[in-house]
Amino acid sequence: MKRVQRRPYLTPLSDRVVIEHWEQQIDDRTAPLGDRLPGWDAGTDIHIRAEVFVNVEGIYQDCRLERDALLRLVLLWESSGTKLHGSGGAVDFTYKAASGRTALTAQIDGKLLADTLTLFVKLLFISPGTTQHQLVPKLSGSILLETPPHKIQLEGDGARFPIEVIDFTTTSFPHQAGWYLAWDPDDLEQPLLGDVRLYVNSRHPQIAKAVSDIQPETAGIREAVRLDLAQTLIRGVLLNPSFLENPDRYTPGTIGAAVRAMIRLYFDGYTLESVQQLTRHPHEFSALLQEKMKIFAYEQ
Amino acid sequence: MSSELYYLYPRLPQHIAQQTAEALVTRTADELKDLWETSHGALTYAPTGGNRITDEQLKLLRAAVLTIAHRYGYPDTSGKNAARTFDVECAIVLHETMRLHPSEASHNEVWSFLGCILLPDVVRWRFDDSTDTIRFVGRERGMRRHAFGRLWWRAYLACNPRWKEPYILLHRLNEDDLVQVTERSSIAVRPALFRSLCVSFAMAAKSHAELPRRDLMREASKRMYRLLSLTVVEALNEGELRTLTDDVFAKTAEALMNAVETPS
Repeated sequence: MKRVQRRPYLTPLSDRVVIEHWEQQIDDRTAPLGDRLPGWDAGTDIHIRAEVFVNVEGIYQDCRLERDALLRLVLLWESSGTKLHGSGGAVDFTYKAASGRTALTAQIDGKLLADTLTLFVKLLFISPGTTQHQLVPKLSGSILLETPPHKIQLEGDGARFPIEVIDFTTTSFPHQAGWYLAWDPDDLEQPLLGDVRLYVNSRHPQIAKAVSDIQPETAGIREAVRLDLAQTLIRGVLLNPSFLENPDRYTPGTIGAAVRAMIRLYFDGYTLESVQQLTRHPHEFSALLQEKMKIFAYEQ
Repeated sequence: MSSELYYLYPRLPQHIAQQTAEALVTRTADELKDLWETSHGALTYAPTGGNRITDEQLKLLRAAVLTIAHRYGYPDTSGKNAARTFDVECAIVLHETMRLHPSEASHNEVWSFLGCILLPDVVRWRFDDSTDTIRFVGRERGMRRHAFGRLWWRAYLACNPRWKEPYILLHRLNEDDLVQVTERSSIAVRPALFRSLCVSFAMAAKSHAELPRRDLMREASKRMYRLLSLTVVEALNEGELRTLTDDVFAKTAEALMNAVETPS
């Protein structure tokens, strides 16, 4: 939708409403809300809390509103995958409310989300009260002010891989292994979501549970799997002469393109040759990758 | 997360769906009626977020859709009225039985599986006058022009379980009306607005029967679209929203009547 540059009514200065913190509620604790939720899937609802500073006097003064005009501060969300929009908690107030901090919360149903989640706080005009000024909004719900968006990438690397939980004793995989990534490093034109699969051994119930029932307490296992997948994929493509010759030959959606993007993301500024050199020192490569991928970072 | 059971559907990769659809549009429904499957070598599933639907459940879904199609003449050519009634009934059946959530429904590959693998004959029967592969292959979440995706999304947006007849809007609005409102993407991404706008439209179309429905919905949708750049309708309660959408139609009807009375 076309963004409105100027509104046909008075609006407050942008610093009248300021987000101080975005937080995520996980069970009984809150944690800062970053820009990605790697363990998320559609079965996981997201509990958001925004701490907002509101300068009530300034808003009424800027908009020439009488003290009985009703305003609403609301937390809004939209998701790029489903395109759906929604709202969380709202606080209605008049001039009588004191300036200061207020908290807005939202419990967002994971089934309504895919790809990314963008959060906003907006200040809305609801009713004029006794305000007579000509430059007040005519419509309830008119936007007086909006904070910068907070965008979160959902569905981390782990969730994007097709995963199957099977009994390894019925396969040719090592029977005691925890997981097995089925892919062909010699054919990097394979579609990432078609031919690449992560098999998890059902004989290891802790691992199977960690990937099929996303819970905070099993995050460590998922992170270990995530690191191993990244190492396996990066090492694999760096052994492929075609990839080394021209990594840009692979079209979007292929395994070659996905690992190329991964290398460029995690090894920004490195040449392919220098990354290849690094893999010859496995202990250093592993530690560096842990740092770049922020493995275990959200447990800190 | 609600304890309701949701299914994860097979996903057919887009490049395979496109190739498959190009072959399907050259065949008739009758030729395709035995060429459906519940599986395909290239299918994938979302790793988490529900339970994988079984072959048996896919067969039941196919049977439910096919029952409706038979009621309207399948595999013989469908008339325009039959197609419209089929769409309404099929939309309700898909929404009630698929146990699909919007997160899963937003993946084009799910709709490509339904169109190309599970129900290709029904797609061909419903759109026998078209060779456009988009009826088989999911695009834009399946919402636009896919034989089944557009029906599921319409039912999802129109359904209000608190109403005595939850899907009444699908019966009250015709195909043109629904296309107007679902193809305005800023309206069809806000279910409460979608429903409120449709209710206000149904009332306005009745009280202004002299005005062409198409004009009334098209002009009101444009007016609503402009309002969305200034207002946050998600933050309005049901009553406030209804006041807004009623007002949009009142002003639209007034403008249309003025235009009729003062020809240029």
